[in-house]
Amino acid sequence: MIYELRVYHTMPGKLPALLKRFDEITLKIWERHGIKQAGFWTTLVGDSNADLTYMLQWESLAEREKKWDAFQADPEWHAKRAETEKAGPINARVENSFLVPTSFSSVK
Amino acid sequence: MIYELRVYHCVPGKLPDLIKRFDTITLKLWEKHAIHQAGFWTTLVGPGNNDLTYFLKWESLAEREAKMAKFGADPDWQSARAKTEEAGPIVASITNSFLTPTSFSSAK
Repeated sequence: MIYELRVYHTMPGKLPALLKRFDEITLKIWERHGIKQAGFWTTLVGDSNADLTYMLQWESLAEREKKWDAFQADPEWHAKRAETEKAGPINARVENSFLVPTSFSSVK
Repeated sequence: MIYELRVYHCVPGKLPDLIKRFDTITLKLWEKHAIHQAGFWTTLVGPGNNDLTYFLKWESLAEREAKMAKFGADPDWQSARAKTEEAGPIVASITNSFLTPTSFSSAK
């Protein structure tokens, strides 16, 4: 299993809008595409209180490529994302990396 | 629940030593102190191939304070750690933060 760690640095004041979008829109579309989350977190103590950190779980890079591309091309996602960003962008910047569990990890 | 995200940046070439120490020493001592991991990962694609990323899970900051202090003061840990670092330090630097799961997170 490969874990994708993603950190969204939101525009000032926009973290609630990002949380709402994941909760009400993005997660439902991901279900349809078979994209699986492994946790979402906001920052209690850390670099920035405007960040959302989350993980996605993939069987392979090939699965990631196929499913993420399908999600990115999804017309429902395009339309709903545009609606949530009428008042301006929500994210300033995204950082991501691919991580592999160690043999002794509680998460496999 | 509070998740502590910890990233260990190893001294070049020392990531295998760090992984071995967690696997054979640290995790056993954490069991004694009831310190709970929530996943360990190395980097497949990302900023550093010398990094180990992991999560600890805490009920509260008070629990973290009490248990980490006991673990840090544990003579078994101090002597075992010293032995693994006879040839020099393993970890160059550590970054950590406290994260809180969102309402829709699969990790609670």
